[in-house]
Amino acid sequence: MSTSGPRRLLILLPYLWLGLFFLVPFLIVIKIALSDSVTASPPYAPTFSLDEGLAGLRAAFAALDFENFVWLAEDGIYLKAYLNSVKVAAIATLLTLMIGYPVAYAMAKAPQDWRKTLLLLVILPFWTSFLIRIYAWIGILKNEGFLNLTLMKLGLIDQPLAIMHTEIAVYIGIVYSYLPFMILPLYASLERIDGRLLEAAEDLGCSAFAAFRQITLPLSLPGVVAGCFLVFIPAIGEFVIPDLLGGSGTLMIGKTLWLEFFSNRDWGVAAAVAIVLLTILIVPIVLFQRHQQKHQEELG
Amino acid sequence: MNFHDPASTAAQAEPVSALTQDRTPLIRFENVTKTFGSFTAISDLNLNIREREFFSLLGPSGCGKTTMMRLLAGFEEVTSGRILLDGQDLTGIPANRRPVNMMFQSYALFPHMSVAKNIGFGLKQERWKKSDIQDRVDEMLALVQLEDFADRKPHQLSGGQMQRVALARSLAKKPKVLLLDEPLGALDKKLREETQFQLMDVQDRLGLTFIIVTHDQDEAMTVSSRIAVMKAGKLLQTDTPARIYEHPASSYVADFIGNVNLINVELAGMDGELALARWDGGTRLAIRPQPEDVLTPGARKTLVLRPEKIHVTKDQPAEAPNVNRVEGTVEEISYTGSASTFLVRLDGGQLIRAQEANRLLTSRREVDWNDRVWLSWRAGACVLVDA
Repeated sequence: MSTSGPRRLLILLPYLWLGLFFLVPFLIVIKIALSDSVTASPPYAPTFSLDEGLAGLRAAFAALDFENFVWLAEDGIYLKAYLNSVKVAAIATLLTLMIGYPVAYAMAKAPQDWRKTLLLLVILPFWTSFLIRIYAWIGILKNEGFLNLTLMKLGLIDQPLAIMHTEIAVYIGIVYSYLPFMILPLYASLERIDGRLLEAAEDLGCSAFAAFRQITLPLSLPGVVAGCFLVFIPAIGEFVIPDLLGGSGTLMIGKTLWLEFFSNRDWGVAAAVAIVLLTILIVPIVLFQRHQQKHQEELG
Repeated sequence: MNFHDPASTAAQAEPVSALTQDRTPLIRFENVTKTFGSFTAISDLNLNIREREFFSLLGPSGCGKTTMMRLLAGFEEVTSGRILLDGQDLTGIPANRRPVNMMFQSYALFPHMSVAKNIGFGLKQERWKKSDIQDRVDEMLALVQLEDFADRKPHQLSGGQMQRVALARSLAKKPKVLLLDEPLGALDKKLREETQFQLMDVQDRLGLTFIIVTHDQDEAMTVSSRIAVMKAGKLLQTDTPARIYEHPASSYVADFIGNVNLINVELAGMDGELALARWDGGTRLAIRPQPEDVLTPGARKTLVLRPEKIHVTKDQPAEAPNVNRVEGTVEEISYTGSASTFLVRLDGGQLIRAQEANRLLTSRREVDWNDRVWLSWRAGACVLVDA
């Protein structure tokens, strides 16, 4: 089978797009990660230029090394930041799942003509800027914020709860922000379950709970896996939420990257942090892709 | 004797074949009514189903047949009246504790479980021992001839195989009654016919009571010992397939089952054993009445005449008191392989459908389009119902 010229061009277009806007920037990041930090503009050396001819290019290549990666390995703070990011993301994912599953279940069981409205309500927050929503949480969580004032007015507490600038605030922020990403795939898989399967299970002697455990839960597993990855993967690299809601004690890799880049102006280390983060994320992303593919095949 | 009153047909002791006689009913519907909001799905219905019957609920969609089944399975509760199974009132007993199992329309196999797991599912709920479950599953797999498919997932099976897994799963718990909701609806015609015989064979071997819901009259006729014809939440007639077909209780039942000519007549009197009727003021027809027929001269009745009971000839048949003869022109011939159906316009303007088996090759057929033909049928080949 041969493809004619114009057709081949059309197929080439997405590759061109990916190459130009994904591969080239990525190669630049790798190059910066292998460079040294200098006080100059740009703040790294060497820079490739053709002013000194081929010899100059060769010299620039020779100056590249893995110094920044060695630095990451030697300073324990980076490892701690990575591990803490994974921990925070994992716990937040679990919390999101625990809140999202009942919500998605209730939505899937709601009367047909209600479901569209409920779905709209879930994605409604996306119509407001993410940043503004996080700022709103500051207004709710701070010491003299909405939550504390309400609780004190009700006489439930005397002292304001110190939630702001703690890890709890970060969890609240992540769970709030990523809940729709959990609910939507869960809802999709729960809604697809044929009601007759549950009737068949009941007919064969199942109680409602046994039917949930043996039929609904396993059949919604693809949604659970998809939702967990959709929350976990972006939550690891999350920067805005720990920066705005978390305190100085909340060590997360996204924040560390920001500090290296803007405060230290050490682009080399920042780029190295980013690359290591990417390699950490590749594992769950590949797992996720494999899972999706397997699920697709099973659906036939 | 009275004419069959559709509403009370079920409550009467109907004349039934020896197969279904002398058995106390296993299932009794007593004045069962089921409403959904303002819609009445089942209306004050009485029905007895005996043990080891292969019973069909037949009717158009929305007639309440599926609701009957769901009431029995326990997915719906009766609004009033009660259902007895083996003398026990089922009211308030949830679906998971009724000795009734159901084979669902489009099977409802659990997609994440293997064939063996599907079949053993009901046994696992009853906390059977693993080895016992294994034994029963093997037995069921053998019953439906799927021994080699135990580890397959439902999506790896053909439609016919899924149907057999569903059957095995619903039989594994040895229910007193098996409910089958349009069990063969998803199969193609040839496979459906094969499977009908398999179902009958399984029912016979296990000695169970089968209740099947279907809108397919051929299927109901083939498999059932008795058929209940339903319309708008009521039973119109409950009888053996042969009686439903040949002695329908009403023109609706006659029309619903198979092809039929419904002829409006006025009773004229008797001629010995035969009743005489006038057809549209002209032709006199002879009918051999049924013992239960009430024959008042002048009464308007509907004559039920099946197309295959009519003989189509080019020559005028010999006159006889028990033979009806009319003449007309062939308007249409439809060929269905084994038989040909003739639409004949009588000289009085009426259209009659007659069917002849194709005993000869079509090229040798003597009757053709626009031919003048004689239609004849015997007085005993038709029945009278209320107009």
